[in-house]
This record gives sequence, structure tokens and C-alpha cells, in this order.
Amino acid sequence: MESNRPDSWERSVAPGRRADSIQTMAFIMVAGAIMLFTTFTASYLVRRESVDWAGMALPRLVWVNTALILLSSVTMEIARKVRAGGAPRWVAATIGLGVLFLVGQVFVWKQLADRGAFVSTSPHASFFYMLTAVHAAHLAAGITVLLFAFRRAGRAPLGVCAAWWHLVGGAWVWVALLLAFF
Amino acid sequence: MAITHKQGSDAAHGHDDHGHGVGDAHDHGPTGFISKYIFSFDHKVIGIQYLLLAIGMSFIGVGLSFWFRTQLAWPGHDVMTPEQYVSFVTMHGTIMIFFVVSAALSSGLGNLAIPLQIGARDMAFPLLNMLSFWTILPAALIMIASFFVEGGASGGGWTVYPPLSALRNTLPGAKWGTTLWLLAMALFIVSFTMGGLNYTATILNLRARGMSLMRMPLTIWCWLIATLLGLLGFPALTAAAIMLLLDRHGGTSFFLPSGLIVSGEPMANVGGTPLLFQHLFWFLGHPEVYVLVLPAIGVAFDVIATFARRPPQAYRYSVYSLLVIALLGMVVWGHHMFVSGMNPYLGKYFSISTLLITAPFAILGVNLVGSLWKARIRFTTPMLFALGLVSAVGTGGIGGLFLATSTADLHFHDTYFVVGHFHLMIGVVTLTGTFAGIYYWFPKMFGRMMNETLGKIHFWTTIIGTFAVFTIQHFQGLGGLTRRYYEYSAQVMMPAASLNPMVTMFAFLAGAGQLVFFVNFFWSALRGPKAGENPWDATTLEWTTPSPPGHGNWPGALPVVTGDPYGYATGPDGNGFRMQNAKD
Repeated sequence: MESNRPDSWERSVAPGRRADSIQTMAFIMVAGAIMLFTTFTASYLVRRESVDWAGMALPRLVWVNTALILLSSVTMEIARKVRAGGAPRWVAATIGLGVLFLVGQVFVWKQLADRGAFVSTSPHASFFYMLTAVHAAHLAAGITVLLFAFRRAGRAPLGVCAAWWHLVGGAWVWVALLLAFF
Repeated sequence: MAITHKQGSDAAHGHDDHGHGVGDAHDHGPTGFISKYIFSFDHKVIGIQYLLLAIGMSFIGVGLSFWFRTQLAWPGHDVMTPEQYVSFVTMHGTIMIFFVVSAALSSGLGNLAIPLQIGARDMAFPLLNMLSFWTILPAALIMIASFFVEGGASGGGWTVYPPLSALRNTLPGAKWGTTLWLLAMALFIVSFTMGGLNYTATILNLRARGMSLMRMPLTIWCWLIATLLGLLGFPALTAAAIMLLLDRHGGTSFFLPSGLIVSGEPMANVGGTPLLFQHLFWFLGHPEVYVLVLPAIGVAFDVIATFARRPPQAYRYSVYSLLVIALLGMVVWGHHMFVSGMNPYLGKYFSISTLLITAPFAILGVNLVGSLWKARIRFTTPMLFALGLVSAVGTGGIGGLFLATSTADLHFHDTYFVVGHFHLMIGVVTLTGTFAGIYYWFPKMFGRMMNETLGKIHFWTTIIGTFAVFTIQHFQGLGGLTRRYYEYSAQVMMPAASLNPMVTMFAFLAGAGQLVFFVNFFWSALRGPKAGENPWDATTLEWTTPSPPGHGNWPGALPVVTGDPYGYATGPDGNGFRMQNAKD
């Protein structure tokens, strides 16, 4: 302890450990989000056994949105793979597709409301509105993170961003299949 | 960086001698009062902020219990209304669990000790750490504010079971109180998540060189496992809370069944399942018990090793036991619901899995006690509290055996047996653990020692008072005294209820002991004798830096770990000890 000069280990390893920390954090956030959607799934499967359950047909637009979000996962993956120079363009494309998805979801809500299906109309509608809203919140968080990544694209931990983005995409496919077919 | 910089000259720490990369605002030590003590990024200051919050909230939480204990002991004096009674019980539970025990033990001591024990400059994400505290504070304020809205605070129990909590006309407190309760809990969950992400990343990624996982102090293992349990459990409660909010304010029927009649009015809801909420709630609720209890046990491991001058028995098996407890802890939640009407076969499964948990817990208990065998014990205040913890784990655990057995639970459910049991576990175990930790690490908070005489008075009043209260409650439960009653009139309950004045007076005794602690805490922080670097002859890393540690924790380079955390009973005569970073 005679000197307060950081030793070579601390200087060389410490910056890398920040990236590791971010990765750990992202891993646990993904695990937490999976727990959240699993809980909703379990609740859905329990609730649909009640006598008052009546499924409603989902607007076709839902599947257009699903295609958009799947496409955004592809662009995200390209952004992760290409060299740093080209990454921002693909990150921007991902953000654009994400925003388009959210706008599409609002139109889905609008179509349902026009049909007279609101959050309290039927248990299926309750789950639909709730799950789409919870999912949208996760997607919005992803967009926020990507906006930061876009600003510092060369140095952003795109692997971590991609993990979250694929989670949000996967969760949507899961939610959509659950709501449409179960 | 010049070689002459000393610890305490905050500006001395530049970018590269911190464990985090560029861009952290806290790379330069803070100089102003506000950035140093209010919106601090320093884990030690944040830890103390949490402790102070917990001390403040404990006045409300304990005060409420004194109020309704007075009602129970001497009914018929209009101490409170029945509606206030249920509100106060609800808020006592909520405040004590989330804003006292969790805030003091998981967040307070955890923040203080984790970076110091693993040899890190600070938490992995200092900004997130600060935000975590500044999120729990509004949560606490909203919780307090709920007493002052129309109808008063929530009265649905800390478990907020629907339909009582899902309808707004069931109780006075259900009108706005429950909404504020849910809002405060949402903020609490956000705060816990931010803190938990930080703990995990810090423990997994910022350990000092040489600190392998199996060289971590057992406290660190306990915090890590408890945090992971919480992070995986809270999403279930979050989902349940979202659905409950929609039931309250969105007109949905997730949890509201058909045919409800409230205050003579039939409700329009159909098809919801209240049982579902219980499952979701206890999916968090049971792991939450371990989130609270494990850190306390961890503190006891460290404190007992230090003052018994012996390493804990079977370190590895303790770690494995903790992992098994965590795993089993996630799949036993249904033992809270034996009488809820769920399938009896499911009850059998939950019964067996719960009884299985006693095996790893017994290993922990044996390891805690085993260190004492033939040891030259130093009976300091932290050691007394750690021994008190061991005693409470044993006593509370035995009650758990009966409650885990579904056939016995049919009789005990909703009696004072349950109240006595869970208060021993998540009340006495956690608080003795917290106190052991506070007396033990006080030098690292304020650079001073706490008064030992006052500490011992505090210990004996606490342990006698709480054990008397909660063991008597076990017997009241055996005698058939049910919980959640404002006043007892049934002849059959009178023998058990007649013990209530005694219970209340022992509760006052335990409470009086805490006043001694408050005096000791604040007096010692300002006027206590100065502490050296390692006043307890302990071996872990936090004792290799000055008391209190400066910004960045170590004035020089970070320590390099060369051995086990508990190097006690070393040297030719077996009385020596070896620091974890000793160069030998």
C-alpha cells in the first residue's frame, strides 16, 4: 500500500470489467423479463379455464406487426455483425422498425376499440390490452437503449442491446401466438 | 497520479484508479455537501442513507404494532376502530418487511459491505445505486401518505389478497389506500431491481484479483443468492400487481369471481380466480423470506467466525446448502395456501418440498454452531446478536416443521402460531442479523466504535422481549387464538387471549431496548471512541483499509487476495490470524 498508483492489472482489466458488468446486468434483466411474461402466460392459461371465457378474433394487422418486429431482429443482428462503421445505419433501421411496430400496435388497439372491445369487455380483451401494453413498455425501453447506442455506435455494447431486442421480439411472437391460438 | 496522495483527499482519485471505465461522474471524489452526502454515488454513504431510512421507518412500523398491541391487550378502551386495526396491521407488515428489514439488511448493510468485502472501488453502477435509494425514498413517503387519504391506509393485509383488495368499496382503506400501497410497492420493486442488478454485477464482475468465488466471505454468497431470488421473484408480483390495478381501476375481472356481494350490492364481475393471485403473490412472497433471512445468516457467519476465532465449519457445504435453499425456495410457495382450497395433491407436494428445505437449513445451523465448539469466544455485542440469531433460526425453524406439514397446518393456519413463527424468522432473525452487522461494521461507517455496555443492554432487552412475545404467541396459537381479530369475545379463545397483556408488555420491553440502540447509534457516530483499521482482529478485506474508508475505498492499489476469507486459528499456538490479502 506504499503507492496509490493503480497497478497494471487494475488499469488493464478494469475497463473490460465494466463491459462484463453491463453484460451481467443485461443477462439478469432478460431473465427477469422472461419471468414476467411466464407469469402472465400462466395467469392466461388459468384464467381461460373460467366459464366466462370467450375468445375474440384478432385484427390481421397483428401479423403485419409481427413481421415488422421479426424484421427488426434481423436488422439488429446485422448491426451487431457489421463493422463499427456501418452499424449506425442498421441500428437506425432497427429503431425505425420498432417505432413502426408501436404505431401499428396503436392501430390494432384502434381497430379493437372500433369493434367495441375494450379492456373490461371480456377477459380475452383484458389480456390483449394488458399484454400488448406491457410488451410495448419493454419495446420502448429497447428503443431508448438503442437511441443511446446510435449516438455512440462505434463503442456501444451492441451485443447487449441485441440480447434485449431479441428478447422483446421473441416475447412478442410468444404473446401473439398465445393470444391468437390459446 | 502522484505517489504522495493520501486517502481522504478526494480529488486525488483520477480516472484510472477506479474500477469503472471512463465517463463515471464519480471518478472525481465529490466535494460539495449535496454531492457527498445527499445525492451521493458512494456505496458507503448510500448504505448509511438506507440505514437511516430504515431507522426512521422502524419508528412508524413498530409504533403501529404498539398501538394495535395495546388494543389487543386492553380492549374496550376505544384505542382504535376495527377498520384502523386492519389498516395498522397491514401497514406494520408492509413497512417492517420492505422498508425496515429489507432496507436495513439487504440494501443498507449490503451496500456498505459488498464492495469493501470483495475489494472493489465501488458498486458496478454507482449512478444506478444512487437512483435506487432515491426511488425507495418516495416509495416510503407514498406509503406514509396513504394514512392521510380518504379512508386511510390499505387494510387488505400485506398480502393484498383479492377480492378484498381488488374492490374499492370493501373497506375504508380500499378506496385510495390500496392504490397508493400498490404505487409505493411498484417504486419499491424498481428500487430493489436497480439495487439487485448492481449487487449481482458487482459481486460477479468486480472482485479483487485472487478473490475466486470460493474465496468470497459467506456474507457475499448470501447477498448474491438472496438478490438473485428477489430478482427472479419480483416479476411475478409485478404481473400480479398490474392485474390487480386493472381489476381496481380498469373494470377487469382477473381475480374477481362471480357472485360477489359487497355491502349488500351485487358486483358485476364474473369468472376471475382469487386463488391465482395467491399463487402469484407467494411465488414472490416465499422467496422474499429468504431474501430477508439469508443476508442475516451471512452476517452471522462472518461475525461468529471473527469472535469465535475459528473459520466456519464446512465452508463449501454452506455454499452448496445456500444454493439448494435458493432452488427449493422457488418451488415451495404453496405451503402458504394449504387451506385456500387448492388441490390436496398439490398440497402434498408443497408439504414435502418444504420439509426438504430443513435439510440444507440444518447444515447451515450445524455449521454456525460448529464454529463455536471448543472456541475461545469473545462475547462482544455483535457476537451476542449473532448467537441470538442462531437461537432464533433454530426456534423459528422448529415451528416451521409443523406449519409445513399440511395436516397440522389445517389447525395452525391463521392462528397466532403462524404469527409467532414468521416473526421469529423474518423479524428476530433479520433484526439480530442487522444489529450484529451494524455493531460489527460501525467502524467502517463512521470510523468509531459503538458503546459495548449500551450494546449489551440492547441485546438482552431485545432477545428477552422478542423471544417472550413470539414464543408465547406460539402457545396462543396452539390454544386456538386466531389472527386478524380486533377483539376476542368467543369463550373458547379466552384462555389464550388472556395472555395478550403479557405479550404486549414484553413487546414494550423489546421496544424500549431499541431506544437504547438509537441513542448508542447516534451518540457513537459522533462521540464514540475512534476505531483503528481492524479493531476486531478480523481477516476479510474491509479490515485492510482505514476506518472509515475514503472515496475509492483503498488509499493505494486494490488489495490482492491470497487466501481464504477466514484465516483464524493460525500460527504455531493456534491463536493467530491471517488477513485475506496477507503476503506470506
